[in-house]
Amino acid sequence: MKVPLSKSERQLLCEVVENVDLAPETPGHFRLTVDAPYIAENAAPGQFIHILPSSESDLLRRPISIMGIDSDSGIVTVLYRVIGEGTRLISQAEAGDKLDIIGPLGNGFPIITDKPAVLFGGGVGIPPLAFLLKKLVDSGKGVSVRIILGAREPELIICLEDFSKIGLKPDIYVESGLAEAKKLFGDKALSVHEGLITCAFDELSDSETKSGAVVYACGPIPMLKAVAYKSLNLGLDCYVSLENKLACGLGACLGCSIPVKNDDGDIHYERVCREGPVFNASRVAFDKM
Amino acid sequence: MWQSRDNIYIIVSYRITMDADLSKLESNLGPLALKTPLIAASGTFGYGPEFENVTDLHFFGAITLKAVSLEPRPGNPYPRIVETPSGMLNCIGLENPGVDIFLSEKLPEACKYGIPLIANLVGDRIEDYRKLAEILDRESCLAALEINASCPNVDHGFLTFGANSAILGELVKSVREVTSIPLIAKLSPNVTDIVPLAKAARNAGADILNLSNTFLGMSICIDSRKSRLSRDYAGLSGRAIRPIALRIAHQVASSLEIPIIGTGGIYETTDALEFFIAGASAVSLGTVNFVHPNRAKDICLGILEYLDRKNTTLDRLIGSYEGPHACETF
Repeated sequence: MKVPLSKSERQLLCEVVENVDLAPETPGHFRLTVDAPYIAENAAPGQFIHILPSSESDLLRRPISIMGIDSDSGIVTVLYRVIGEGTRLISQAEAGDKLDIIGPLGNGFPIITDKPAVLFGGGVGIPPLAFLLKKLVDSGKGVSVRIILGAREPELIICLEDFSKIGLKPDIYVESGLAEAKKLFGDKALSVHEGLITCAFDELSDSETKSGAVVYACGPIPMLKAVAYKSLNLGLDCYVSLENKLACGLGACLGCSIPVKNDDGDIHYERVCREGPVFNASRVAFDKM
Repeated sequence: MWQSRDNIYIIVSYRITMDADLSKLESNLGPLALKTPLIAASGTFGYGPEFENVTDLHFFGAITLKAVSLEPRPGNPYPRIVETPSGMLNCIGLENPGVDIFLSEKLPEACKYGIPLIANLVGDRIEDYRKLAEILDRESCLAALEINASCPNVDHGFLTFGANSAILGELVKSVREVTSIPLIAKLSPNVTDIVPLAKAARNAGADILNLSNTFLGMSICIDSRKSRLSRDYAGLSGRAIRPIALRIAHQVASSLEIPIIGTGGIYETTDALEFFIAGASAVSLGTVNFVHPNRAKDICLGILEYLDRKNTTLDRLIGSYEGPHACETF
């Protein structure tokens, strides 16, 4: 029996263009750009790429949300924080190295252009919002966009330059280090506050709440839970991009499933990698997570 | 032409210009004839379409589909997986849409690839397995039925069926009575001695044994002092279990005559070859599919290269274990 050796379409060896250590401004964070025309051509905001940390290790792939694409040059950018062995290995990739990447995977954010948009980003949940913002702005529908960023401390607020490139300044909330945050972000932010990101709901304008703004959120699960609760109480549509540990990333193993509400109030499970990572917040059973 | 230490990548020109002659990989697993001796392990490969455009499916001799039960099962709560040294723990909990949707949606979709399919049967009672087998016996695109008597992640799992020879024998016999499709018994490694269970399954009519399933393990978060998963214990898979799985396959292969599928931590060509030498006629790829979804191709080509280099055949390799290492005498 002869079997043709076909070329895989979605698993790619992508050349690293650069892998920049963002220290000292944001220690532990790296911005990785890879030459991946297929991904750049097909990716949507909220989707992720599944990166093999090293062909020399046994580690599972690491899912990282896409921060930006350039479909002309075929370049894909992600921003990640080194938190364990997998991301440490990825951070060692140098320009010219090849990374084994599957993507783009998952379902991204819906691009809703007839309502104001409010984007909430926490920590490493901030980068994919830069991609979303670009799509909203590029839609040419004049969507009013507000960006609200939060983190435990100022150094975990990232991507400000990327937002300012598009001409938007975010409101920033830090849990501690207000004076430092004001010093760091004074001219790049619309406002800087001490407190949880959800305090921003008190600052939303009537036009945003009454005209039914769409809330998009990406960040750690406790933050998403709080943002979803506040949004839904105000009657706003809310889409959350969930992070979870993934194994296959392709929808096969069911390892990343999260509880989702049925119409009857009961729950079932849906895959973060396939049905998600973006979910309508009203469907997610945050109390079971 | 190869690049990197473990045959991961073949350079593009080779991909385009060469075809792989897989005829030397044909393997007879009792009544089941496979075009390659690699089988996708249940629960790691979904129903097939998940791996479309990522995996060259034809390098698998068969695909074992995600477990199917009579009624839908929601699976276990979140979280379900955690990575561990050289492996991972999972407690998926046999989530599946039930046999009705399996038949109306999942199976037809999987059938279109033209690769032999194996259904993995689970149930709470012997009657459940029997009824499932009766229903699935009518499906022409199923090449075999696999009795999953070994899932560690449900309350009625291996403790009910996988750890007691008499009950396992009764289960296999009951299923055997209602189907003529080749029957695989997938056994649990979480027992003191697997050989009596293997004998019970064979004597009750199993054609093939799959040795084995995940090993019970545990992972604790030292901050919360809770399990990192939604159950206390979960199934360990990956490279970490390979030497133990290999020992189990060898123990059974050297104790009784029955075709064996070796399963557990097979990532490389050399891993598969070890299982063949130990006595397995085919091997399953499981957790490796998550990391290297196209590894079946690399392993097939690696086996061909080995057979060629050693001037031998797969048939001659199977069970060719030579015994303990001994110093050369002069």
